[in-house]
Amino acid sequence: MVTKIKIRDLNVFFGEKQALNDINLDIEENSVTAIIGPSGCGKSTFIKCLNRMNDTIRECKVTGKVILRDGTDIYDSKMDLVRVRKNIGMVFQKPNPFPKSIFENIAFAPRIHGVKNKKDLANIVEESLRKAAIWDEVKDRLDKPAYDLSGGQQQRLCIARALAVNPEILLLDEPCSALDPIATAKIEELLVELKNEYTVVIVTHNMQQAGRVSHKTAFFYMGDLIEYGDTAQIFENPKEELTERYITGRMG
Amino acid sequence: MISEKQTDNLELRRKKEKFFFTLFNICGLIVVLLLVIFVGYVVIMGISAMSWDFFTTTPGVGMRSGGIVTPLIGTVYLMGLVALFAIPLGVLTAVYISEYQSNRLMGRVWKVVVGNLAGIPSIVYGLLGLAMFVTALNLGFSLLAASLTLSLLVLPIVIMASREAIAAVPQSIRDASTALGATKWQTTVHHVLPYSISGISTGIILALSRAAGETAPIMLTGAVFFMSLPPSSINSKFMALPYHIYGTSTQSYGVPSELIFGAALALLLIVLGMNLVAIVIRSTFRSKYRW
Amino acid sequence: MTSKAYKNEIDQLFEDVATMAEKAKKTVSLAVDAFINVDQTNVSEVKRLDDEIYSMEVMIEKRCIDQIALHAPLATDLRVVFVIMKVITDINRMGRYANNIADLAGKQRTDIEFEYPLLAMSKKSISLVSEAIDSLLEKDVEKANCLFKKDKEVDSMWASISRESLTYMMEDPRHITKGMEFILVARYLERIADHACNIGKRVNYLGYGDTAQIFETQKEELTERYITGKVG
Repeated sequence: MVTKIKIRDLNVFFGEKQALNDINLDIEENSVTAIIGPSGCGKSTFIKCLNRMNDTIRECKVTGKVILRDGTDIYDSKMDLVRVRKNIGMVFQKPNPFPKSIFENIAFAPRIHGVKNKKDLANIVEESLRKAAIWDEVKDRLDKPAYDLSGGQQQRLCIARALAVNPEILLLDEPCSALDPIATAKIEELLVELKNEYTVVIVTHNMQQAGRVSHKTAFFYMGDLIEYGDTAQIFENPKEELTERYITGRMG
Repeated sequence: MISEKQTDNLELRRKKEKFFFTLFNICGLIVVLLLVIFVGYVVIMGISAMSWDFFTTTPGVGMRSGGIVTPLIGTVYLMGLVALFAIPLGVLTAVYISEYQSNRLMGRVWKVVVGNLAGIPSIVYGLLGLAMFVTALNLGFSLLAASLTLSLLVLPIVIMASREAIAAVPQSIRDASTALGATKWQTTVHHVLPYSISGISTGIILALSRAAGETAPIMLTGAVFFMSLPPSSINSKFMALPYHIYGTSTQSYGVPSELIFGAALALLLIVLGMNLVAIVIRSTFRSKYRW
Repeated sequence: MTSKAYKNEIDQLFEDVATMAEKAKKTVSLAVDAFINVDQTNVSEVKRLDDEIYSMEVMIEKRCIDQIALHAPLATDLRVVFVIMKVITDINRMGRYANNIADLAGKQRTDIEFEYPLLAMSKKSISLVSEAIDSLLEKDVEKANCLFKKDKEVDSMWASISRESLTYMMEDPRHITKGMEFILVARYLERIADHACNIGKRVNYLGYGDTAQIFETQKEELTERYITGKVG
């Protein structure tokens, strides 16, 4: 396995409060890595560090390195944020399509990154929707508002939107927490498919979800990375007492 | 267990409830009634003046006859100029405060400053305009000075309304755009502004109708009692509807009341018409961008 | 709510169980051949296959545990994993018995001629294993229930072989060693048929989701029908 993202000595502070302590983690290419842990353990903060979305939060300070496979550190002061986020897509907890048509939702990102040709745009839109396994459901109503879709479809639309700029890495921050089990199952199937082309990192509250989709699992607690390993190993025989207590539901 | 005494309380509570419900109902009715009487009075008094001639002829000698074309045109010019000055400045300031101002304390300071600006009495703005535009900047007693003064007056309204509208756009939409690699400006232009346009335009129109109705500031900076011709340039003096109403009702004698109320009705129509436009714009964009 | 990945893995597990059963059948027939023909050539092959079967059991078991840990299966999905885990134990036992039979294979011929009933019995037991695995792969409860009837035949074969061996042993004490070996091999084959029946029991559980009770009543009923000659 090739390491896609190398995280070294990552510390995150919100004002005086430290949210993440010295995180070191290697994320494998073309696999699904799950981040689990109780609420407030820093897992969302962690995933937001990977495409510098934390920059939009006031008083957030990050130290350390996040090095991609090609050797670039995304926390390099010369790093172009636009490029970082183009390479590293993100899907959020609640489906957040733009209040525009389905087509416009997908076409926005390629357009701002310079795709002008209408035919090219249409191709990108179709390809992205196909990859997100939603094309068949929306192909006849691309000009309809995205908000007419169901929650699960909206979330897949958001995944398609993230794929439209052709990123290498896809970050998902609890993408199924607002969805019903059937929509969740569809997204999970999709993630398993997507890992063939992308490196996927998913934050999840739902341990079964981590089990179903991920190859590696990292357990965070109180801003520390407690344990990181193969999902099967973490679930069957965790090395750390804390991990055991969390996954068996005996925590605090 | 519920005792007898508490059951009595229940009865009392029911009576109280009924009393206050009736009270609120009456209050609401009084307000509606006042509005109906007020508008109805202006309409009844002014309707007889309404005619094509009324809108197309200049006021006659001593205002005792003729129409309102000069003050009407003056007011329209004034509103146009105020829109020209206040909209870009107000909207862009609002964008700056809510999108680019990252310091929480400064954001609060801005809010207080703008809120207080909106509370300053209009006559003070008039004085300020007189001192700054008319005298210090040597713009003279003119349409330009008056519209700049009015722009200052309505700026806080535009800023506050725009800010509210921009703040109503969910953060999640900005995040989505940012995460796709859009810059802050691209996010603002492609998402934040289009989605908040209904609120912003409502604010703008309310501000413009406020500008249309103000008397005190223009009285001190450029409006005159009588002119036989519409203003020829932004440097000339002008007539405006509110000042015209003030003038005809207090400064000259023997003006037929239908002429005064006709002008008032015209002003009312302009303001109501603009509010109507605001409602139409709001509902159009609401259905276009909803979340 | 099971994912495609889970379904694929279960399909793969079923295939591996089938492979494992094929190996077990082959091992049993090789061992019985070695015993009957007093031929040492295939004994090492039997040991090797037994080892393979054992390592397959370990591997499949690990994968089943992974499936439970990762997918938290429920209802049918849970029963499938559980059944696979039980079935591989049965198959592994078959391999062990074949190994035991191969251990009994002598180095030189004696004068007792007794191959035929033993060969017939081993064929019967192996066919029972085949049918058990078929019923499992096809999830065919009817087919699984037919096993119990055939198990009775194997039981009676085992009874007749042991009686006959006993007769030989009583006739001539020099036949005791060989006779004991015959009895043991027949016993092992009978046990293999029992394990095939166990698999049938699991198929029942897979289909009805009920524990052995349904099966027990059916078995009793079947036995009775068999004894009273009302079967087929």
